[in-house]
Amino acid sequence: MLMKIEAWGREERDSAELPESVRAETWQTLTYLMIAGGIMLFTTFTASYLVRRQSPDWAPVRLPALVWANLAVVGLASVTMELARRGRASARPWLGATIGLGLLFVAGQALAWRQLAAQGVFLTTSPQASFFYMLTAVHAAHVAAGLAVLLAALRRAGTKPLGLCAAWWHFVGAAWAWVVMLLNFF
Amino acid sequence: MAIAQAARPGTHESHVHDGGHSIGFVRKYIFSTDHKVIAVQYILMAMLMSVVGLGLSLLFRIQLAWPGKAGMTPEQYVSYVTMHGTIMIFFVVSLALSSGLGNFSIPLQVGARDMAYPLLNMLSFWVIVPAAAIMILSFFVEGGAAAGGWTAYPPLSALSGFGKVPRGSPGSGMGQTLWLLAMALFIVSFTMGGLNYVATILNLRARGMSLMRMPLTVWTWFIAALLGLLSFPALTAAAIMLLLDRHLGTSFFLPSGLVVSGQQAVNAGGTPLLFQHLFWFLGHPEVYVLVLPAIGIAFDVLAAFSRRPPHGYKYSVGALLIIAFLGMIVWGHHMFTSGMNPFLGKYFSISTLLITAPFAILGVNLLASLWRARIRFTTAMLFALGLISAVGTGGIGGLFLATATADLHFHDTYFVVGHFHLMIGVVTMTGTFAGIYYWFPKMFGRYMNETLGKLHFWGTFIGAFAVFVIQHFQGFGGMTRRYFEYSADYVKPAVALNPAVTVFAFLAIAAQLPFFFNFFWSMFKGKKAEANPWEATTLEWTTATPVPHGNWDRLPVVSGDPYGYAAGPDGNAHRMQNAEG
Repeated sequence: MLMKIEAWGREERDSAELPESVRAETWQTLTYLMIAGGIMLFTTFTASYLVRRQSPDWAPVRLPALVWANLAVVGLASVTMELARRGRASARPWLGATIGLGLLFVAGQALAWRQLAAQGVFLTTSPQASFFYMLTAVHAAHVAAGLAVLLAALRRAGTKPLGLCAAWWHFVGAAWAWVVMLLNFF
Repeated sequence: MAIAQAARPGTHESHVHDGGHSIGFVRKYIFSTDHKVIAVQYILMAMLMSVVGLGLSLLFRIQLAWPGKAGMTPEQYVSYVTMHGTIMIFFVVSLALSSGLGNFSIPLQVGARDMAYPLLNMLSFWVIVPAAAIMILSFFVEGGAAAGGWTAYPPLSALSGFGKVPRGSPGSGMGQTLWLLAMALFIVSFTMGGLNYVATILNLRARGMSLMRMPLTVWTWFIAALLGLLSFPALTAAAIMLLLDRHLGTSFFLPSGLVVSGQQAVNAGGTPLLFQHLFWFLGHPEVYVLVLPAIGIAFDVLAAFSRRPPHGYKYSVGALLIIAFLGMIVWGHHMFTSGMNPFLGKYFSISTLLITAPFAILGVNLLASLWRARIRFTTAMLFALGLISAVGTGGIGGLFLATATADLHFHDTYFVVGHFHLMIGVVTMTGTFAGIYYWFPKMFGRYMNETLGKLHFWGTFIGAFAVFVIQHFQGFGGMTRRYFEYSADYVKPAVALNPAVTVFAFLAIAAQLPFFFNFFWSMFKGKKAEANPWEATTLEWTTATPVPHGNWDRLPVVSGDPYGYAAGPDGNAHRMQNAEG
């Protein structure tokens, strides 16, 4: 185990020795590919939703109004993220605000689950409820990845550009907007 | 062997200092971040899994040829067929070809010190280890391993027997859950690998290595990695929904009114066909993820042993890109008999047949590369030539299957089995073997034995071709796949061919024994090889053998095309890709 930890440390030093410009490019490739993969994932769920809703047992579920409030929170988090990205000197407080809003969003989603459950709507109650619970959970995993990246960025805010963190964060926000529209209007 | 242990500076001016402190066995060979060691780890893992995968096929081939002699139940039979397909595609071909040879050659061929993310690379291997272990262990749980086919179609794969969901077959219990878990880990590993491949190829190429100066092998790995990254999310989504159906009682795929063993399922309204669409949205591109790199390797090997640049480099690159695009939009041709709208069927038919055009370009370019060449018939070259033959033969079967009207007859028969084994079995493995024999001297500093290699080639080639071509005829005769035993009169002439097929299958599998022996024996006792034993021109042959950690003392600067072959007075004139002047 000790050996493994040592290997990790060594690797960090090693990869840091790639020229900074090249390292920035590999991160860019990695981030955009992950966003492309994420788009494919949500597109697949969208297609599945549109197919599944053709079945005769489809019964719309009244989603809690909180999902709209959560959308506003994640939208606001995109604004603060953008401010953090643009303002080098003042990046840290805006980044902190983004993380705070991200956590608020997750808490809001958890509350929406509780509200829906209180109405007697559970995972297997109706196909749309199955989609709601599943998509919020899958989306939450993407938010969690985003929060982890932002926390890591907080340490070095002001020294390194935040463009790629922002790209992922905007993707996560847009994905939630997409899911809310899908569940409410289709 | 003192491995050069040094910093891995990224600029070409930097030096790697040899003779640094030595590292322990565990870091050097087990938890290594060096792409070359990881490549060998993948290949060894694939060899290990191939023993299981091929062993299973021997068992069910005995049942098919001489019913009752293999001592298995029908449930075990379908389980063995399922696990043979899963293991061979995901844990043998994917690991040896894509993960193994890809890892070895990408950094070396683009002129990089390692993958863009060496630690991620190590992790992607170490995620495969539990995945393989879980896949094997699933044979030993209650009900046995998964038995729903390698495609895991619901309802069978969804009927888990957990909670209120009825049990479909013995293997659809814990065995299918472990199958899904192992596949999830495989997807994680393959995705991490793909990210690394694309980042390395796009961002870490040596100075002067423009995209159109990349060896064709690198092009195929690049395209295959992109295809994988864009298509695997569909299977991920399908697997999530399948797991929810199995364990938490949702009805994404399970339809209404399902009665299993007298028990009425509580699920309602799900659409099993949806799973098929999602599965094949991955499944079809996955064919190209595996087949294209095999073709790429063949181009490199043909060039080296025919002493000519591959014919039509630019057209090959264009054809590869078109195949990749078309490959993403033709998945429905696996589902012609599922009751789709005839117009949709027509679309999938035409788009699939369109792929013939770019594939014909690749085929012509492969063949034309041999025109007036001075061919050296090494084992690697024989396998590359075998690949051309398999691409052609397998591809012709594809034309029939792509035509919806013909497919109505061929669907789920041995015609399909023969076709896809030629493509995803023979093409991929001849490509893999060509690559292993070609790069072995660079991997281990020693040649593989040529006599054993030729024995390996002819046994594999004759055995595999006989098996899969005969299976086409059995499919013509109406012999359906996945059946334990056949009793209908009309199918008897086709079934009568089974003993012959089994004998050829034994031959093809027995031919792997000289390869296994050759691989390990040559690793330690093979004839020593110099740095560029084949007088090839791509960058991996410009560094020392065995390749030091960090790959080059000074990173190469590329000055020309990857295939600087020209017949000189001695017949072997060539120009290395980093040659000056």
